[in-house]
Amino acid sequence: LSVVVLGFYFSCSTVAFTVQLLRQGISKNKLVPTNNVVIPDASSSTKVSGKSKKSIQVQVPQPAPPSSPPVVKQFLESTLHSLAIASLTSGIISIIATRKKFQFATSLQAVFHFVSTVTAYVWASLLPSSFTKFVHPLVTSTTLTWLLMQLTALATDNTFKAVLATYKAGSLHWSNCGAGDHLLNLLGPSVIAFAVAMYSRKKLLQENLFVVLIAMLVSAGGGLFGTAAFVRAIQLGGKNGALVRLSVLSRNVTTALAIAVTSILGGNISIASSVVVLTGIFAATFGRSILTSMGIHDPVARGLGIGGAGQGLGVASMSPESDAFPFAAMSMVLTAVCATILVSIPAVKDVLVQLAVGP
Amino acid sequence: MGQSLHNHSLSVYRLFLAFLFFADITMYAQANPAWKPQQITNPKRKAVMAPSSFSNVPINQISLSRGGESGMSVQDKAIVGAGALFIMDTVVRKAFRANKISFPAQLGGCILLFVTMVLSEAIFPGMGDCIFHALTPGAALLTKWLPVFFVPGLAMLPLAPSIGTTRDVSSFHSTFLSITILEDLTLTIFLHTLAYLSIVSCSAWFLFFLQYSCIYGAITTSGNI
Repeated sequence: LSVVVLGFYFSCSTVAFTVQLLRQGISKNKLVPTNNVVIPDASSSTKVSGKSKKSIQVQVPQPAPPSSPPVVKQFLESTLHSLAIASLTSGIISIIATRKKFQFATSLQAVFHFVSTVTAYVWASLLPSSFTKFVHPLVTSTTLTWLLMQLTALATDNTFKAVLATYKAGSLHWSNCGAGDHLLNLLGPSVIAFAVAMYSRKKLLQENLFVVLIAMLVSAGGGLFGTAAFVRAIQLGGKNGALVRLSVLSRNVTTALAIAVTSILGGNISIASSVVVLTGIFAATFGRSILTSMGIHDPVARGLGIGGAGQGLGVASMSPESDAFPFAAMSMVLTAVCATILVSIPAVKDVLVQLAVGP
Repeated sequence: MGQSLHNHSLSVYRLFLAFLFFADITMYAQANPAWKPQQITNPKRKAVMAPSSFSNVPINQISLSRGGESGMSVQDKAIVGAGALFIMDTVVRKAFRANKISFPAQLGGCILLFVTMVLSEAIFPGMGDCIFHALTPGAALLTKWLPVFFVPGLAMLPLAPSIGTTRDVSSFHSTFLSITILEDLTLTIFLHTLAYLSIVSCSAWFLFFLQYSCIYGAITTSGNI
């Protein structure tokens, strides 16, 4: 957990502050404010903490904090109602089919799990914002999915783990595919769709290309080496924890490439996926609040910070911030690519492994 | 027989998804004005607005059909767009697999689509924007449902191997652990202070190298421990 929490905080803060600094440096040189960045009144100035506070007080162009849009629920009660009925119906059919050992029982169970997962997420999203602020709907829906699996296991005289194993079989063949396989199959088009968001802000991306590239290096390099140093410091996994330590290094790389990075480093893919998911959940739940509490209001810095530290889920959580979202998407993609390239270089890989595991 | 059943189940699954998306969009569009086509007070042109998460520029200024007179509703466009992205993902995945490219197809597809749109716009002005507007509703729809697609990764956690028990972690003396966490926090706070100081006094590059010096310092310290 410390790897997830402190790792996210470290990556997010280093990337966001580096970006903010670079952008302020660039705008200072050009004396021209960047597009979409609102320069506040002359009265607003940044005071520097610590010793500098007494002597230095400069005018730094600070963008306005992102306007908090009115809380609009993404889903309707009627959607939830329809889905709940579909879940109940498919659940009953699935349980009967499993108990009767019907030929298509696995497929029916997949349909039930698919509908129930979607229903659980819609229900979780409709919970009061005071709750969803601290518990991401993803966590709530996953807990509900587990609960439903436990109930399914009880109803079909099976074990929880056996039912869970059918949720994601790793195949799309009709005879054994699970709901998780179908849902993961839709992740691909969603990631491709990030290109549309990036294109919508192509001019802003072009203007900040240098900043984006530096952020990529900071997030990929800092993420890998910072995590390696930390896991060795806390001796994660005990004396023989080399496998565990190598598996968590890709924590801020999106799942698809985290698997590639972990394979190159010789870690365990399941552990890597788990850590990546946990990091994503933490980023989605607290990422935006952390950035705001750190005083990062620049949409470019916010987007690049979250994308570099919180991968896909972090990017998804930035969707309400239309200026930050494309940067988050780009940062996620570039961080993942850069991290993969870095670990593909034998010298870098050796240093990283030695740093995480020790001599 | 197996293949035909496989195809059949895939078709049913896609139909179900299409129904789910369509039902949801219909109901959502009724309640959320951001998804409805919005009228701009320009008598000559009707404008369809992109969902607020992507753009606040009227879509038909660079329209899907010249003049913005598209016969498709936003709901239809969302389904067609999501379908196009789904097909794109399938094609890219198959192409990568056929060419034995180990790079993840989804990221490859994202980069390819972005590059295609930028190049299309550069070579044939208006074409990149046309693709963008055609895909925007579908992309917004997929983005809305995106967190659900991460549920399997989290739901499968109970089957993941253990990353070590609490005892394993605490085998490293708890005092050292506390010191290390405190060190990490101090380092982060130090970096923040440096960032603020650099804003007023130093160049960006100075901070960049300083940050990495700090990381190197932390690495060396951890090595000694």
